[in-house]
Amino acid sequence: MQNHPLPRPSIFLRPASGLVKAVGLWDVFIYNVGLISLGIGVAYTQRYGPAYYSAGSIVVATLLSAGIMALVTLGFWAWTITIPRSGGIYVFLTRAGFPAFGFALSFVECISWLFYVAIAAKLVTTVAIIPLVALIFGSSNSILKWLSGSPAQLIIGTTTIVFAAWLLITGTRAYIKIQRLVFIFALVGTFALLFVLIGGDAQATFQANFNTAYSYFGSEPYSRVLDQARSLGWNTSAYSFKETVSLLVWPFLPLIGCAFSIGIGGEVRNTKRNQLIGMLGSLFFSAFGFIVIAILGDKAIGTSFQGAIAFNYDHASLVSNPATTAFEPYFPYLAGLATNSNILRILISLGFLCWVWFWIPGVLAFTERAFLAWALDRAAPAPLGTLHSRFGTPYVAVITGAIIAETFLILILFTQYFATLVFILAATVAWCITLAFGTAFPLIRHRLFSRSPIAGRKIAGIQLMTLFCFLGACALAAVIYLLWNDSLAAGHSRKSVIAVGITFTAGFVFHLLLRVYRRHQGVDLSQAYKEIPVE
Amino acid sequence: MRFFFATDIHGSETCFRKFLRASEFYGVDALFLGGDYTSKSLIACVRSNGGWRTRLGTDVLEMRTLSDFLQFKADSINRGNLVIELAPDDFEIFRENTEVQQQLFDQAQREQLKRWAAMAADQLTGKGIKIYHIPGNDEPLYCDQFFNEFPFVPVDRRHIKIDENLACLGFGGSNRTPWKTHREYEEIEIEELIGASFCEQLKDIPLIFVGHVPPFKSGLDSAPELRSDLSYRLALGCPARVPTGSIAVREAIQRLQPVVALFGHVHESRGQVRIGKTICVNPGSGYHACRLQGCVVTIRNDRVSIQFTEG
Repeated sequence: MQNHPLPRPSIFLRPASGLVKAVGLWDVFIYNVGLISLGIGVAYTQRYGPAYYSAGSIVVATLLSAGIMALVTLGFWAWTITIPRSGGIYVFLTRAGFPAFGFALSFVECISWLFYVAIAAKLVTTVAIIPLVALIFGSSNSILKWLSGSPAQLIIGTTTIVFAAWLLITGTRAYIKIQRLVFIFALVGTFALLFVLIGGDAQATFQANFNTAYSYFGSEPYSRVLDQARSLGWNTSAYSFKETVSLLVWPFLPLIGCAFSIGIGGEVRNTKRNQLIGMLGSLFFSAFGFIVIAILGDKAIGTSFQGAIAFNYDHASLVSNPATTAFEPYFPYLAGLATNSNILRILISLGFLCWVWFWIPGVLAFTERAFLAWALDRAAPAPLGTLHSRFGTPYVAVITGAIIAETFLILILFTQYFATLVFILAATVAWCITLAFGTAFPLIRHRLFSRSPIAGRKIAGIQLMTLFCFLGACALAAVIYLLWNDSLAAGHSRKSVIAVGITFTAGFVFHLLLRVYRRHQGVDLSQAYKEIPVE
Repeated sequence: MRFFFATDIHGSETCFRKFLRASEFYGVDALFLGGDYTSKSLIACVRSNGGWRTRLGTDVLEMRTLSDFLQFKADSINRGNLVIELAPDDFEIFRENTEVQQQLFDQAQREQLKRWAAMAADQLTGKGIKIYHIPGNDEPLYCDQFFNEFPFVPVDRRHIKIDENLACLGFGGSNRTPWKTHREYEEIEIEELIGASFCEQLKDIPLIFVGHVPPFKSGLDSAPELRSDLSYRLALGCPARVPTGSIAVREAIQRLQPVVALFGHVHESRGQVRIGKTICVNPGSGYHACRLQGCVVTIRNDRVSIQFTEG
């Protein structure tokens, strides 16, 4: 008997509400690219890499961090297709039966990302606005002096955070309209940057403009920068793989954004394919962008020069005539000097502004989702999940996130409590523990795992989820080791340990106390996510 | 009183079984079912070469043994799909004729509803647990023939006493949707129907309102904006969200001020909001993943507490 042909799907769909196409591959890709932020990645890597890891290669470091992040991504891909829900690690761990860890690690993750919202709010001024003012109005003026101070950065940073929160509260439409515009300007600015750096006369233009702007350094200002850095102890040794490995923590920070689509996992169609390609695609696309800009930046400005001028800036108090800028010498400023066109300078700074800004409401929205999930489960006070009576948005969650970010902004600007990447240390520990749970999940929650689309997939007899989560956890453990031993990035100073320790402890303690309180109210928290047996 | 509310299970066998077990699992006095409990899709498996074949999307599935077929059928039913098997000749007719498709769908749906009614009676008899329910906009009109006997208590367009201290008013169906489903009404109709259902004699008894479509712009009705081909309107990976609820339902809640109002319809808008003194909830739906989303509502001395659950 012949097989009956089935040229069309043999499924009949009757008119019924809700049959819509969901988030697809390109949407996951663009969502994650936006949350990686080319601007933050380039700014930080080019600012700190050549200065403090001068024997390291940014290109190789970026490739290494992309490789590490790819392993982490595979681990979270396994999680998100097994538990295809929106809400990130909180949902994964609570629904997998580890509620205390679910809340505590989600708490750590949210605090960490809100810290970086504050960092980004500061970078709006230092990475975008200051370079633009300096390029257009000269490298020394009263506006620049004001912008370089903490009060100005607090005002601008606060305005940024408040505006982002307002956008989220007023609803998705306003948010999407603004973000769409911002994304276009970010791309235009990036193309302008590439256009300038690729230009055959970029190097000559940069040196000529720098020498003119900083003629008060004496003759050959460009060379003076390099000479002074060496005299201050800036390391100029030959290529070192060890230093390259140390450097990778800086491109790692932005690339971590490629996995943020786990936060919208419940909305993605064909999760297995779209999340995998979307996440890895955004990762490699962005890493490629970082590498291209690093190579072109070296050609036009000189990687050594970038290192020297940043090193001089950080050690300016040690010399009477510091050969550096009066403000942090971020990449947009230096790249702007490689052209004489004010339009291109404006576009470059605007591009960086847009990339940095893009991150802020995106991450606020990520944490808002987590807060809402906690509140609905009653793992956090119910008012946290209150919806706005007019806009229908979880405004209390948004405002809470904004207040936390604002608090961090004040602490960052007016205290020395935090090393730059200390909360990346906290976040990577949280993610590492989540992936460690993922390693064991197929074994200890076999019944739940059996429903996963990858339940039957093995490599060398090992469940795919176990393998990917194990590799991802190991990759993150390596990053944690690097961060722990890097006093510039994070380190294990008393302040760093206290900051991370308090965050973890607070998460667990809060969960336990709330559990007791809810029990007193007659509410069993575990019922929020315990599966009802069918038989 | 303590009860469990779930909605929009869309034919998922697993979700319905969990719903019946919920009374014991959560220790509640009653169950409320918020509509859209029928299936949306029918999968036809053609008998072929001693086995069965079907095509889902671009994948052709071959089931060579009876146990493979039964496993596939069980998995599909658990996720809300109805499954039928057809001889090759019948399949030819099925493929080309939408009327036949609809007939076979309705037949399979009626069988499921009959089976569910028997299951519910079997499990809840002797426990005194009732299931107060309304239809959603997706329920064909023939569904009114089912779920009328114990333990089911239909409350659509009815205002009844539940006990000495609580009454219940229900309204099934929705305002207009792009899918032109079975139970859609203009806002003015909704207003009139709710008004006509209200019983003056029960007006002093605290009220539980069971609706399907949520109030307009409540946050419980925030759904992805659609294009004309019913795909999401997206920008930068994010679906734009628009309020899709009913103005008439919102006005009814503002006027009646029930103790608690239960809604469904918009699967993505899980949450809780106050309209005046009324706590309105939408537990959302995860039926396609066999996940029973619901909420346990406790009403004690006119105070309401809500615990969202995912069984």
